[in-house]
Amino acid sequence: MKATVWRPLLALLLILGLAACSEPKPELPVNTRLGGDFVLLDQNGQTFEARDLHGKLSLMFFGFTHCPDICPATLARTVGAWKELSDAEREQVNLVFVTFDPVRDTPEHLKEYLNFFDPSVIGLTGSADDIAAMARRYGVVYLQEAAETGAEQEYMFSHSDFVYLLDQQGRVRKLFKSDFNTEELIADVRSLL
Amino acid sequence: MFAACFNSPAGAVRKSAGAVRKSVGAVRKSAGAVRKSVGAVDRRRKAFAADQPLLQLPLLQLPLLQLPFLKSFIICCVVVAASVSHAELVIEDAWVRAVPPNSRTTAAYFTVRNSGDKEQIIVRASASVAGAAEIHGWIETEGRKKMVRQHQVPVPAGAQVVLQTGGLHMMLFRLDPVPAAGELARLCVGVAGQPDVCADAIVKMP
Repeated sequence: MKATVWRPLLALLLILGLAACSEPKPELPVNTRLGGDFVLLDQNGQTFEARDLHGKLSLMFFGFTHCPDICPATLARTVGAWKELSDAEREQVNLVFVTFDPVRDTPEHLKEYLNFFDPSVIGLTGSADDIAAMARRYGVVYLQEAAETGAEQEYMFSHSDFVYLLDQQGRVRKLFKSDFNTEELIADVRSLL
Repeated sequence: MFAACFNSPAGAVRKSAGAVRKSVGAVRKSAGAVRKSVGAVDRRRKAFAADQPLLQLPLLQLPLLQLPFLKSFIICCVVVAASVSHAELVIEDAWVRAVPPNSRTTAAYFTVRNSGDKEQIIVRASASVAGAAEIHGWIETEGRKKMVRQHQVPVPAGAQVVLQTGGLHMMLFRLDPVPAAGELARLCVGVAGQPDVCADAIVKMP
């Protein structure tokens, strides 16, 4: 008698539970205010355009190589998250580092610097104007700051520190703070693959 | 404590055995105080281990030095020496971020603990792998993060200051050569009028 009552109820709960589990996660919205075309130079000195990223997802970060703390930390975290993907998944995700310090970050310098993190990281530099134009499109804010007298570096940059997730069409889908949660980033990347 | 440890026992040894016994009594009292002190600074001494290899030597295991007086004397001297040479600050959990070979800068991170009863203000920093070192912090303004040099870093009495990514950190300039992951770097901070406090830091990719 009891079994007659409980079995259908358990079955119903199971069905409801499975339905809840299989409910698709809301798709990441397209950010229509940020992103767009750009033309820069990659670490091999070749022209690199926004469309060269199309067909794959991209994890993009803006910084400069003389930055001792947040930039290398964020690069290392982003590359670390990317390495947690499967081989097949990694094939579908670009890693991009854009410098806003073209004077010191030449293509050659970028190449050696980024090889340390992973040779597959795409490094982008260019003229100060071209970088500034791209930064404006992506909502990146940075400002060259004169160092105080006697300081070790002539200048530094204050800057925003977001990691951008772009989809296969180069559209901005999500921004992550530099201290992002790795699992969240990986889940969002996988949701777009 | 310094005088009690060095003058009384040392003088007593040169005198008669009776005087030594008195001195032993005094030193035992002193040793009791020292042991309390040792308890209080036990964690600090552990942290000093890397800096104070003498603490790790089997010296105290020698049969002769098992005598209570001599053992107390040596413990007392070591504790006092450690206190004198390192003030009240201890560097713990130190590491240096491994960076590309063409990088001129990196950052070091650690915890500075003040086990004393007075605030200590760090006014200088140095590192064995860098031409210069400075402590910097971050401020966020108008959507930008900006590094600001900290000329003074107060460490309140009985408290600690943590240097970590995105917060206070020690900037290392003019790396030459750039230390590779797995190597050790010597990091030091200093308070005005006192010797530097140093620790070995492992270079690593976090």
